[in-house]
Amino acid sequence: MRGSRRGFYAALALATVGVGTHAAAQSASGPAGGSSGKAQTGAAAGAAGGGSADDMVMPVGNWPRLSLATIANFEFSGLGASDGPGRGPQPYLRFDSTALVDVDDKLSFDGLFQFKARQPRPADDPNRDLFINQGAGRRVGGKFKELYARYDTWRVGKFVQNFGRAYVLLPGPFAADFVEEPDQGYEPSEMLGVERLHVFETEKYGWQQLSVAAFMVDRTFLHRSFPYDEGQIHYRDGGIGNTRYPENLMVTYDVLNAPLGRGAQLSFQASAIRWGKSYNAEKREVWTTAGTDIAIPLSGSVDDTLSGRYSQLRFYVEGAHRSNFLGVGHASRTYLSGSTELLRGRWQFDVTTTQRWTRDPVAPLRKDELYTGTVGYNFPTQSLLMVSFADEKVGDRHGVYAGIRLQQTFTTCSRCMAHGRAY
Amino acid sequence: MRVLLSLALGATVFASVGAGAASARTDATPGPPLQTPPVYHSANGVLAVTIDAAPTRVSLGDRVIDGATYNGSYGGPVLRLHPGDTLRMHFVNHLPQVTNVHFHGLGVSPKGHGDNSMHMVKPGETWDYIIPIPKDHPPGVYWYHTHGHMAAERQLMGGLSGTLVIEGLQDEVPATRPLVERLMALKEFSPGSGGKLNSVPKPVNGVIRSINGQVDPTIAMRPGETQLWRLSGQTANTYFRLRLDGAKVIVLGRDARPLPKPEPVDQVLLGPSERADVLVTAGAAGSYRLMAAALSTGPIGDLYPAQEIARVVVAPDAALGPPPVLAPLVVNAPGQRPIAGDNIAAKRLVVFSEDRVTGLFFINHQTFDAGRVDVRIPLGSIEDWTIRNSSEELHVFHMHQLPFQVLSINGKPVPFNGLRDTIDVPIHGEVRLRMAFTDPLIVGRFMYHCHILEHEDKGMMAQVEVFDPKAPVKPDAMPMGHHAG
Repeated sequence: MRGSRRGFYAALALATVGVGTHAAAQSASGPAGGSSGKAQTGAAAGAAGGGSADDMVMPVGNWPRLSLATIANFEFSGLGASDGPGRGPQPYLRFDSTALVDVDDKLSFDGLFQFKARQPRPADDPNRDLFINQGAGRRVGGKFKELYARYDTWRVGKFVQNFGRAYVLLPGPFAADFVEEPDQGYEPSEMLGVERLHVFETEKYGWQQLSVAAFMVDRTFLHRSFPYDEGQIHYRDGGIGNTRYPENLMVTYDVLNAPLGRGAQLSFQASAIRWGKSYNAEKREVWTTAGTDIAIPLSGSVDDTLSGRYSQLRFYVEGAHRSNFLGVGHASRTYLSGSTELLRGRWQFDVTTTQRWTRDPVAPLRKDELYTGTVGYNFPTQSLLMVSFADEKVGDRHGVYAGIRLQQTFTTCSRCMAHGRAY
Repeated sequence: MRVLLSLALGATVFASVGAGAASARTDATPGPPLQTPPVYHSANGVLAVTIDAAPTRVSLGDRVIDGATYNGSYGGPVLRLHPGDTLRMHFVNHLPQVTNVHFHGLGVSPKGHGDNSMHMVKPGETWDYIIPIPKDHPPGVYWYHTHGHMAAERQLMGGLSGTLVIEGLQDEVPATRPLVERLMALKEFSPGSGGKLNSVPKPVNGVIRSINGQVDPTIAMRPGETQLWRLSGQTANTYFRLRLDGAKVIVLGRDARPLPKPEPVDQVLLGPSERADVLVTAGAAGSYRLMAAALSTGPIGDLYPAQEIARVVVAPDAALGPPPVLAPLVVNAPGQRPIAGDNIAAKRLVVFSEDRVTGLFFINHQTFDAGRVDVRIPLGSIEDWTIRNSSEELHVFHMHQLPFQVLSINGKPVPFNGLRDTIDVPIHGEVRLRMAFTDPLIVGRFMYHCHILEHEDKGMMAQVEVFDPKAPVKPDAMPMGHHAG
């Protein structure tokens, strides 16, 4: 697979949605519904004992297997604020490295190391809330965003909960600015927890799965970063999900790639999180989200694809709501994102918007708006070159943003044998 | 601005590197003539051959690579038999890991010492494959190759494959009798440091495509001459879009079988494991490039650079005189008829999907498990299968032991033009197939899978068991179920 087209964002999307599928794949019963462990054991036993020509010596084995990949982003961007300080063009390097160790068919260890800007903008910068998640001009630090073990349909450790997809699926490098991370957006990252996945047997109407998770904020050393250190969180620091125990509960239902006819496929997610009450919070938050995307091939024949003429239109819409926003009763934040993406051969074009409403018992309604557009081109070297523009309004602050980004994927190993000899 | 310039230069360099990976010969010096790998013919109804699978240093163009070959031949020994013959292959595994052999496309028994892809041959061990070819077996170009699950991609790239010909095409299409026949095994190798196979053998890391183990050989033709090129995509992952300027090209057969209606084309598409019998008629004297055009396998697939894979030199040959004129094409292939659809026993759905994070590939949610039978089918059944691609790259469906009829692609009916054993499944698309599990020879367990071997190795394979409902029931026999699709 080539990793550059949707790059890190799409990869993470599948990390969120499909990460449990490996285990599910190993455990779900066969589609024929006719196989049974007993019968298979019998066959295997017969083979072992009889030594007949019908012996089945599979599988090959050769565990463990290693996978290593890095997606590096080099960005050169600037911000022009309508009022107050802007930011001239600045370079910025960010990378994300994934490591996966498959111990056997059921047990694996996954890690995502993320090196990016982490230093908050100065408190006296009136535009500090504009493009809060953008990197240039801030000190950088690296740490494990995910580090977990997966066994069969379970996973345990630090991982981004499967709640919402906009922060990974919205196309373009700046499109997810409003919805990333758990304080301002609705990305339940920096959580330690346990998840159980159930994959429904029939795939006639797409891959359907239900995931249930219990989790809490990562207060371990894994929260620290280097060289810029975000520090370690303590219970008394409060904040979303920072409960004494893993008492934050999530239920998510996914439908992936349900056929709509003429090659169009739909994916859908609905999810809810009941957060525990964190230290000094007035109320517990409740998050809900629903989102769907439709991919429509415009020229999708095998010939078109092989000739480099494959084209596809994708529409994405997702809404999310945080009630008791930041633990304040009757406060809320609501998000609505929509995007349109056109893939045409090696080119990709997208436009995205996110609208965000923040309600507070005393403050007036605040509406924030983000509009972005990106043109990208894929090179055969797993390189994606993107030019992006964004227009953002946060409260009474407004700015425009422009940047060029080169995204390079390096795949070092893809389920390589860790020991033993290949031919 | 300087940064922008650097980025632009970087992009140019990237693009150049990608294009350079093809290492196509651009000079006018013709390469060595295309040669056929060593050929083993059957005699007195038997082809007895010893095949040694072993690590082999191979000269591939201007490189020396660490390959893995059968009998030292990267192009692969050619096995030629007649219907009714028996293939007796004494197989010796000199590799440091397990391997085995699958006889792709043959309608023979999957059991015991037959085309038993479940059986693995350990390092240093031997195995005897005994394959009786039915007297009514369709003639054509088949191939044999490693089928070691989780190792097949690398072993095949190393060279573990060869062409297998069941004689008789020239009887089914008499116009081909006087034609020069060229067997062409199309292969790929992704070279790493020191000639080793890349740990990630992808076109982004370079790919060498070859014919019969030769990089950019020369194919001699006479002006106006028609030759029969019998192409087999003996690749793990690579497709070919073959183009030859100055020639007329007719696809005569697909997947070993002649097409009832041969198809004039301007390019030949050949996916991993697919075969095509092609009539190539040369034009005027000159030197022409046989190009594997640049291609993509989809938004999350791979991008392959263009590569010249052969030079066709068209020149009169005084010794041979003028070439014979191609007679009208009359196809008499009794096995090439639609599968009756008036008694469909079951409809099934096979969904190809993948997870880019774990790098796993699925069929109906599941990765391959040798201990699990995914589908059980009573002998005598005719079934309709829908193959759905839920990913954003191409997949290639292949069923062992039996051919199928393609009924529709993305809902659009496909007029019958021959049976296939592999079919490309478009992105987000569906292909509907009809299969006749009616030949008693195929009773047993065998596989269906994506024949992009990276995908197969990473899970995109499943197991079918055809059982004889009239046979005595074994104590551990499983109840029949089917997945109404």
